[in-house]
Amino acid sequence: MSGLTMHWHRRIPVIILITFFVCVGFIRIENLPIAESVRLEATARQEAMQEREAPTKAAILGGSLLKLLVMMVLPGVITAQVPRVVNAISRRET
Amino acid sequence: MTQVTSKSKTTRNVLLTLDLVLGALFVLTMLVHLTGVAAHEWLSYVFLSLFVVHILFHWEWLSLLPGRIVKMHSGKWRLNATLDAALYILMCFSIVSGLLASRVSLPALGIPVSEDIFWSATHHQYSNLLFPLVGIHIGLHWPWLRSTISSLLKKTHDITPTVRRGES
Repeated sequence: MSGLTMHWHRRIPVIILITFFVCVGFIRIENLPIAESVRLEATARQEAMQEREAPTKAAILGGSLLKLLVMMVLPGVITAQVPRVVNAISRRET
Repeated sequence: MTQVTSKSKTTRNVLLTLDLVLGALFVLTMLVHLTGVAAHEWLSYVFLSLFVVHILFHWEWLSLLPGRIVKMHSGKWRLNATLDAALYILMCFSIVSGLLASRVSLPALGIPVSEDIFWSATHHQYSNLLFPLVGIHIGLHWPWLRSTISSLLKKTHDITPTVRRGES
């Protein structure tokens, strides 16, 4: 059965409930001791960034696109190509 | 029979359009240095609503997810299920930390937000983890995405009278 034809009213409460518990659990990390070290580290990083020169628009654009390419496109391409490569190798072996 | 085929085609087209819009919105939202914080926050709300619709459309697959992780399925199924679970949890964490670190949208709506640097740092870290996970998620579903796009492109080239009757 396709996702469009299923009962929506049954799904929404389940999603809300799961998400609520996941989020409530997550918000509690604010009180953990590790949160203090994260705060200190973030403050130090912010201060260091304020001392640095503001990057140019071209640098921001280049950095953003590079980040997108390396962190998202590359893992995606590798994941999509791995089964093909494995199939090709196994076909060659047989 | 033609009506069923036409309906499943319509469903597939809706899913494809939603996925493409969701992907484009994800990229736009994540380029926060380019778009600015205000656009990033408002776009996130649009993304969030479409993300919920995306989950609802794929509810059948998600309901089978715990079983797929535990039971002996193929490695690809297990990876897919584990990745989807991780992606959902990480997306929740990212959205919640983003809301708690909101600087523009929530104050504009009259909702007070504590300016705790912890939440902006956490939001930044979790959002960076989303990049590879979304990339791998798209990579794993790439065969479906490619076949759907190619069949859609083929359909626009040669629409037969039978298909037209079924669609009306």
